[in-house]
Amino acid sequence: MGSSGTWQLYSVLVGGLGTLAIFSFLIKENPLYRFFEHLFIGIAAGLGPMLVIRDFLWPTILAPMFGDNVTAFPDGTLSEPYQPLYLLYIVPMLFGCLYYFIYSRRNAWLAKIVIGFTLGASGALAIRGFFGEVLPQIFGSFKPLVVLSEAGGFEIVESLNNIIFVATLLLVLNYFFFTFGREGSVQGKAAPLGRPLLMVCFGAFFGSTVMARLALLVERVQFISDDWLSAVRVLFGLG
Amino acid sequence: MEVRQAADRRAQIIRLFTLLGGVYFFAYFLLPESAIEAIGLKERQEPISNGFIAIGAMAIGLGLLNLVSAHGSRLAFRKKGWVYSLALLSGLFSMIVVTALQWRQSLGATAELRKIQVVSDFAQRISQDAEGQKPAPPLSTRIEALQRYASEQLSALDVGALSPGTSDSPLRGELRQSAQALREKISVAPAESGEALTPPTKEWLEAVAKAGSKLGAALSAYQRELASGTTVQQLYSLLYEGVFTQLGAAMFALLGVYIASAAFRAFRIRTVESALMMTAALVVMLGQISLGRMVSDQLPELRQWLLEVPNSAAFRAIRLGAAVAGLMLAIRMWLSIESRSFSSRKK
Repeated sequence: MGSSGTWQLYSVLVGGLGTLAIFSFLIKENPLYRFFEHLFIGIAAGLGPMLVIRDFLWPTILAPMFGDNVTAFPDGTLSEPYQPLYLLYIVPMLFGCLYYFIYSRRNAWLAKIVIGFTLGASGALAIRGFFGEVLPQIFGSFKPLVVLSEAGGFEIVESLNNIIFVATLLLVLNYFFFTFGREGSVQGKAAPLGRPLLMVCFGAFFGSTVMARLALLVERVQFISDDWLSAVRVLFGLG
Repeated sequence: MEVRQAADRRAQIIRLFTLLGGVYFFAYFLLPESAIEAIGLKERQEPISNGFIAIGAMAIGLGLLNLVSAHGSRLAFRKKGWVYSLALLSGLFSMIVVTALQWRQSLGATAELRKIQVVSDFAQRISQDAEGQKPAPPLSTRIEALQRYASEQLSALDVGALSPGTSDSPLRGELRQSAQALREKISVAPAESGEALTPPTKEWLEAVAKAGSKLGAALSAYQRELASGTTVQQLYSLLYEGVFTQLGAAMFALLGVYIASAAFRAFRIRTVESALMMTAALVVMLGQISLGRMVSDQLPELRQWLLEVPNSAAFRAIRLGAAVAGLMLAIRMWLSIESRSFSSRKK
């Protein structure tokens, strides 16, 4: 077996041990579970910043700023002229460094400037997102209640589906509408109808979530019974 | 009094920056397409957005500092659970070091690859410049420079990747063939008398560009093969695929067991509504597995209908309600109405 294969086996061995340690939580919280839980958090916390640097900061900000994306051809000409405007990236980078004033007791308010700036940008992006993404969904929700085929015939199944869709949408929206007093009004009388529909929705969600998680569980069990046990047999010579 | 005034001034500055943070994206959304193009915002949109992301990206060290200070002190003073802190910090630093080493390795490989790709890019550039009559050094000088540079790179490749000591593989064979093809092309440059691009020269430049590009692709595949066997790559795979991915999947799978067990304990069919909920969940679960088809052939279709019609409509209603609330929250946040306590002095 090559060294690459041995590494692969060790990788499976560690992964299987970790999986078993995590599953041991089902019996009781124990030191092995906590050890692997902390290891997982440590690796995730180490990977995140490195990905930001490797996949965003270097190729998008630093490389163009240092002219690393410009190639010098053998005759001395350049693949593209260097853009000094990229140096302006220093401004947001320095501004972003204000985050670290959060550790200063005296100047912590400087960190609030950059946090506020980011909050403002997120707020404006959310406003844009509402009009750009949610409004088309609202328009798209009101489907035709009478659907006719190309030949002009009445499509009963599709029409019924659309009626149920629009009715469910309106009844559930109405259920959450608390702005005006609704006692005695049509709106108030219709509100309880939204509850069972919501329950159907929650039930379907619950079913989908359980199935997705169980699929993962089955995959884990298969990994332990196939890959991990094979790796253990090979590494420890258990036939 | 003076302290209070300074605090108010600071609060005003924070509110001003909060407003400024949203002005660009809001203006970009409000302005018509023609106005955006006229003021040159369209072509600058990407670098400006990158600038915004760069601000957030600078916060990457905050989490690290917090983790290191919290767990570092627990480890240093041997407080309760210090072994777990050791595990966390070991995972953290080993991942940072291994990812950094792997990145360094890939940067070196990319630089090597770029040298070969320059042959192809330069050949294309010579052709484009000559056709477009752009100001450039004389054509004959450029062709000589291209030949000289390509020869140098091929010699370096002979010494490096194609040296006799390196183990042989199909990819290495392909690399050798591609290098030979480029060598043949550059050895017979057309006699270029004038400075205008003649059809034979254009054809030659295209052939060199094609051969250079093929060599680049072969070298890239060969580099990937080499990199997969290095200790750094193996360590990265061990940490990423062996630990991170496996533990992540195990955590999610564990939640599946807990959801099912919590549901078993909490769900009691006491009302019509709870019965509806349970029926919908059962239909969705049974409709997804082969057992469901044994109960009824219609179950998968019923599941599909349930998900596409009533569930989709109810979920959309929930989303619309949440989106309206989100819109209000966004406006309040942007105008510092929501976060007044954030910008004001604490005490």
